[in-house]
Amino acid sequence: MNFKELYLKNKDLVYNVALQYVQNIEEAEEITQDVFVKVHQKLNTFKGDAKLETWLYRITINTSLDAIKSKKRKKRFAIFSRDEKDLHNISDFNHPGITLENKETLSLLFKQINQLPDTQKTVLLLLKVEGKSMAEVAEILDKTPKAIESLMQRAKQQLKKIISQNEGI
Amino acid sequence: MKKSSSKKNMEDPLRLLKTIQRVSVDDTLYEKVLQKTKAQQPVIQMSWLRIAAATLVCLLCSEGYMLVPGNNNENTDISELVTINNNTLYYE
Repeated sequence: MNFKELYLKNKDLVYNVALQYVQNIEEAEEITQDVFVKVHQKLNTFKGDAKLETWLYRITINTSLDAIKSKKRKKRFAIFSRDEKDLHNISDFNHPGITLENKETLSLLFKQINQLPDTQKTVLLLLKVEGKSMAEVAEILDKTPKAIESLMQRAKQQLKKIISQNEGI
Repeated sequence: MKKSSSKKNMEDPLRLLKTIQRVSVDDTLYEKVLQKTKAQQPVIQMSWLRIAAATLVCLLCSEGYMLVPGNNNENTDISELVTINNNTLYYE
C-alpha cells in the first residue's frame, strides 16, 4: 500500500480520534497532519507485527497527548506573561460531530473528561466514543483486557468525583 | 449538566458520548501533509553524512597513530639516506 492509499483509507480515523482528544477542528487537523508526517517517515520501519490500524491509533493517541501538553504549556505561559493575543489564540470547544442540542452538555462533559489522567481518558474515549471492544483497546494500549477493565472502572469513579466536585462549586 | 444527572448511574452521561457523529476531514489536508513531509526531509542525505563521518574518523586515527612514539620514523629514514657533515674541529 502506498502512502496516498494509506492516507485516503485512514484519514477519517485519525481525524476523529484527534477530535475526541482536543475537541477543536483546527487542532485536530494539525494533529492529523503531524500523524501522517510521522507515518510517512516511519512507513519503511513498520514491520507489520501489529495491525496497521493499531499502529495508527498508537501514533494518533501519542501525537494528540503531546499536542495537549504543548497547549497547556502555552496557556500557562500566556497567563504568566499576560499576553492577551496568546490567550485568545487558545482555542475553545469546537467539535463538528456534536449536534447543537447536545453541545452544551457534551462540552461540559468533555471538560470533565479532560481532567482525567491520560490513560484513563484514552480508555474511556476508545471504549465509549470510538466504540472499540476491551480486547481492541488492550491491543492498542499494549495491556491486558483486565487492565483495561480496571482502568475504565477507575475512570468512571474519578469522573463521578470530578462531576460532584464541579456541582459543589 | 444538571445537578440530578450525577446522582444517576455514571453510564448516563457517558451514553451521550455515543451520539457523537463521525466527521470527514477536509480534502485539502493531503496537500498540507505532503508539504510538511517535503519540508521535513533533510537537506544533506544521510549517506553523505556517513561518508564525511567515516573520513573524519580515519583522519583522527592516522593523527593518533603518528603521535604515538616509535611510529614517527621521519628522521631515521632521512638520516640513513643523507650523510651529515660535522664541521666542528675535533681538537678545539
